[in-house]
Amino acid sequence: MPMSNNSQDLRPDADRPGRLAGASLAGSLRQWIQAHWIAAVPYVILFVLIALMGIVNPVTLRPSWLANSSESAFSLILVGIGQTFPLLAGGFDLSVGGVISLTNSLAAVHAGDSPLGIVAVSIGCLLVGVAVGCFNGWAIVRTGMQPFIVTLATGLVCGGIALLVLKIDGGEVSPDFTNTLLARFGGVPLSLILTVLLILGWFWFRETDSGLALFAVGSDARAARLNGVNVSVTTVLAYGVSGGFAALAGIYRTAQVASGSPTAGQSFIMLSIAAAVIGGTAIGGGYGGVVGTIVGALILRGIADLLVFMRVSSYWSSLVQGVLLILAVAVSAYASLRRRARGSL
Amino acid sequence: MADLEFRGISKSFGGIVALDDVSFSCVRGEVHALLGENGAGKSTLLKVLSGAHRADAGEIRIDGQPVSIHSPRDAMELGIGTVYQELSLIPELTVSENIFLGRIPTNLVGMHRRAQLRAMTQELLDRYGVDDVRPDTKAKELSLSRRQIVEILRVLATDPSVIVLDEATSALTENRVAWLLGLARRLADEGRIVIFISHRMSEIRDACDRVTILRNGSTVDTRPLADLDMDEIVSMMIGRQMSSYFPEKRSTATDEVVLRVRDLRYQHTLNGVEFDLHRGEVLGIGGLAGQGQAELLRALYGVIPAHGSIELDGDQIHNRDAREALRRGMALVPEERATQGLLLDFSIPFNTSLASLGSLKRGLLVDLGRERELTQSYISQLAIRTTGDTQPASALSGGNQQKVVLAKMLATRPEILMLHDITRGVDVGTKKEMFSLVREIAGEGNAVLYLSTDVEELVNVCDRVLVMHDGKVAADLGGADLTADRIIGASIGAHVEQ
Repeated sequence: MPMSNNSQDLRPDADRPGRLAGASLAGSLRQWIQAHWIAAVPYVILFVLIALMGIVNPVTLRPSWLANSSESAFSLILVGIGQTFPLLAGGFDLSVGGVISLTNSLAAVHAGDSPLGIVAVSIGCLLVGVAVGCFNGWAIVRTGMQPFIVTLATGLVCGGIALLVLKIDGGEVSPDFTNTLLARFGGVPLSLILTVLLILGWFWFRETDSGLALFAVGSDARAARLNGVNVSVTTVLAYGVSGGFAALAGIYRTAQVASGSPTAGQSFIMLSIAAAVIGGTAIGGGYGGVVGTIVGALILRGIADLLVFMRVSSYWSSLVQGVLLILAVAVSAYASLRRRARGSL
Repeated sequence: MADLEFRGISKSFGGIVALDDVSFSCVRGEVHALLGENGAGKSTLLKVLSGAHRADAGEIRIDGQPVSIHSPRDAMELGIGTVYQELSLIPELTVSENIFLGRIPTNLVGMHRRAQLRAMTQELLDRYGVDDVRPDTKAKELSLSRRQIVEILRVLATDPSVIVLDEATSALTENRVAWLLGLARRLADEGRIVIFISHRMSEIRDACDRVTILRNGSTVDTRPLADLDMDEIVSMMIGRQMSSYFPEKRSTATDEVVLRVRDLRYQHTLNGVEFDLHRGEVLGIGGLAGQGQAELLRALYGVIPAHGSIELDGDQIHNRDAREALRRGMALVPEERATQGLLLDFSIPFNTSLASLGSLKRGLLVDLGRERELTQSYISQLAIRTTGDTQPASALSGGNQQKVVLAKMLATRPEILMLHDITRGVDVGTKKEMFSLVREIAGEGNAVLYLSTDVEELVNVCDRVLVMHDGKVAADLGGADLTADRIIGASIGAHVEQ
């Protein structure tokens, strides 16, 4: 069989006539925009939102206000980043609410005043979160139960323990704790610095073997296993990361509010999933990322702020967030339809 | 001296013997065909070799040394590379990520070296003469044929000394089949062992040196291919003399037009398709892959919105979805049985009755007794091999799954049956049954649209063949014009005089 004839042989199989005939720069730019504009949607929404806020209330464009809003959104950013991992792996994590409530309560009750105690309790809370997350992943992998059931159950258990730790909102939080986590460096809040570091960390992680494994598992777990990816370990780690970030959010909230609440986490369950999805992460896995989730979290918090500035009742904010979520899911469904249409029939 | 040797391999699954004392050997530099009907044990044997299953008894020797293969990783380390029948690319990963997954070069902090990865992939593509696949394309954006090529390259990238090609040609276009057969020869000439599995006899003839035939989990014989003719091979495979591979062609076509299609258009894939389908006719649809054949069937079935005129029994119709098509007596057996044709987790009766539940209803509920009766009648009519009613469709072999899809569509009592490459990846015995069945259906006064990628099949099963090229009917071949040469000529756009 003559191998040299291949270039000739291939022609009938080419996608479209002229595809290989050196496209112009403008043409390839147009193609790139056509293929990728959907990924830009969350950024455009955030930009429009900031512009609207600037119009309604110019104060919001001042650095000090931006610093404040970075702090107010940071808990959701943390949970959302964690939530992105199980989502990318093809699942989701409903236990983040319980973990936040539990760690918030633990930190508020036990942190005390000594720096050593604060550090020790923070590390302890983080370990609790990671442990709960890893248990979730292990149970899903080992028993084949749905992530929905497993994480719902562990979330309820954590929420229950939180109520045993702290019956009602309160606790004593040392001012040092608050001052450390809400520190500013030349006006730049710690939360913003950490967000930038987390984005850099994501850019690193995405390019590692573990990062690729995460996308592979979410894209097609069976194929990933056939390709030698350790699906079990990847799944456990994804949920472990989610639990860990939920714990961090719980700790941060403790400092931010200077108090504990055994029900602090409830609202974060759905908001964290919403932030990731609005940011472009696909429900079902394999596509998306942490940067989009941060944008999604900022959008969700921004909407609430905008409505306040516009003197609209805060009851509306949940409604608007819901509408936005539906739009985001619609855009992502449209995107995957298009992706499929470009693939084979 | 045998370089790869199977000695007394046995394996059973819950009392069902899949392999019984299988022994044969391969030598470096040969392309070794493994033949057998579906369920003969080929897949199980290969899974033992590739580490997916562990044999109950027996051993595999490489260069005379017994080796233990307990996992796919073990097999890879021993230089055994398997191209699986079911595609296993990860859709959201790029071509290069898929090929080198787990072996991507990294820098000091564990990040992938993208440029180096791209260069490695490009080098691999160049070495094997693949110039229409790009390293950065996501797997899900590739056509079936290109995905199959990437599967093959992924195995070659590990530089294996034993290469198993399990039905690797079934998803390939005609040109790519030639490419792969050439590749198999070249790999063998480099001193490797190539184990080649295909249901297309002509490919085995073209590519292989020796053949081992399996039947019911045991080895029948290993022989040089040159010593065997096709009838011998087929009879060794099925254990009985096969009167003839193709059924005797007795045309039942009438002059009555059932379906008249005029100027059918869809995006860039259908550019004005026109033809008449007659009662009692088996009308073949051929041509190179991707010339609009699949879209033609999907358009008629109402799955994609095409423009143009479709007349059924003289009435203008427009199927907006599969429900409407089925109601009008038009049924489609789709291309991918596992994803488009079956609900794999559900039982055989469930799948069989799915498209005809309306006729099985008693009150508001489905009459399960009648569902079972219906299924039983098709199980015996189509000779579906199953171990029981409650078996999920996923437990069936490929050929039997295809029969269940066929049964589901026959249960709708279609007047026009559209078949999309129903013999793809199906063993010879089952193919033969299907050919007879198709002729039988046409003989009962129905009409069959028979899409096939196998030219021999088109010539021997169909009354007439439409060869498609660039979204149009390039040739309408019947009678004395219906030859393999004519079909291939028209496929590549050579001028055909009417």
